[in-house]
Amino acid sequence: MTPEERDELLAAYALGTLPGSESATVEELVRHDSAAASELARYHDVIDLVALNAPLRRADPSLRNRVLDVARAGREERIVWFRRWSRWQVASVVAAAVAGFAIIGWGMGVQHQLAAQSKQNAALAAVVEASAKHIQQLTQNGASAAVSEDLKTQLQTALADQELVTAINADQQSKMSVLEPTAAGHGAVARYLWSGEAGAGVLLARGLPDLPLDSVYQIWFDDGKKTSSVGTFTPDERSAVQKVVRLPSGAGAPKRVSVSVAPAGGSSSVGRLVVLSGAVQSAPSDYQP
Amino acid sequence: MAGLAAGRLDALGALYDRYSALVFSVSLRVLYDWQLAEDVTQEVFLRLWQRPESYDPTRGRLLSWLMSVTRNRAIDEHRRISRRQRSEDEEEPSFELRDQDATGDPAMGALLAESRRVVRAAMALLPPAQREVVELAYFGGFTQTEIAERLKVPLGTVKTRVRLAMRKLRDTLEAEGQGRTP
Repeated sequence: MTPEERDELLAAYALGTLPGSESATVEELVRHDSAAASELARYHDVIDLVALNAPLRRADPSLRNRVLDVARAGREERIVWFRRWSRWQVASVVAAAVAGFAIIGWGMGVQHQLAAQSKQNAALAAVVEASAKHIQQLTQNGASAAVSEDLKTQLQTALADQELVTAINADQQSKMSVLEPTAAGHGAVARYLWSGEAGAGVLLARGLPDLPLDSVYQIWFDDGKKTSSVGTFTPDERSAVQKVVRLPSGAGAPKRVSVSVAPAGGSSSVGRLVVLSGAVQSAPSDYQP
Repeated sequence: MAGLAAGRLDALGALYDRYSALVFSVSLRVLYDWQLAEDVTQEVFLRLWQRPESYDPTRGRLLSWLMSVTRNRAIDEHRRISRRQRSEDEEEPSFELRDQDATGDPAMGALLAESRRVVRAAMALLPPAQREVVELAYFGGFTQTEIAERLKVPLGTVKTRVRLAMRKLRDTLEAEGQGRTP
């Protein structure tokens, strides 16, 4: 091989334009020839910079939150495995929160729900307070500040969601809407309870189709002017979900709510795979399930 | 990066603010599809978040690593969805950002702007035929054979153009302190 042929191979390999057979030749070459390996490294450094020649664009600003939301969810998982003591602790708090959510919507009267939820909230607040103290102790004993902070955030989020559910239930002007399944969502049953006063709602769904790998369900509000993503979720093992949804800042009250299938972390547009959709009622609901 | 390894979300947010415009721009340049480019951008940052050890600082700059991962992922996606039909003269998405708007970090923004200036100048120095093969290979993910077929020139001509272009780019960028010191 002449020096020119050798250089040609290294340059093309770095640029990624070689077919497999010739790539194998280069890989064999750099394994035994440190000078060739060094040359290739220099080409690699250069070629990665070619990216900077692309015209600069900015992604949709909502992408930042989607990335951080997925990362946050992933970190919870990492923390659980990082500290076994945090595993049962987080699970107990989340279980308390889920127990609170579970009483809404399917099969109970409004007053009964409110009374039960008040008790749940009080219990949950006590759990949060006790857990916060426990976390503080753990931090003093050397646990990671980031771990403690994350647990606190989870607890606060659980409590805030629970309080919102109560506020939505208590709002006499709350509107209960039925979301109809599309062909893709055949078999699903869903309702959406919206409170303008709370600026939030709860999506209740069951019988949701199994998600493709690395996918989530994404909830969308359409206020008549624009469609906004308001969150993602994965159903529980019974293919059901109860999800608190907050109104995005600057968005009007939703006129239509839809649920679509999206890549993990969510998408910037509704896309074609809508499984549920329904207009939000304009008149308050009597709210009996 | 230390913050990322420690699992700090604010570190991920800072990295996103600093590099997302570049990552997204490269994805978009390869895919010509805003939604797919956002998906790739998300994957790149989540990969860094989930496996911060996959970036080895001893093997180069974070910027280079990000660009490499982004480009590879975008090209994989491009191949997967078989959208090879776009033509090079297809209209690009409008509204190019100014360099200083590409990052939320003014100091880093200035550094990136300087790197971009140098790289664009180096690319502009290449004869158009050489620049074309580099862009087709880098952003299009085409092999030399595919480039030869596309440009209707002999394979040997493409190989020569690649070699000359890469050598010239390397020399120019190293002289500007952007590459690895030989």
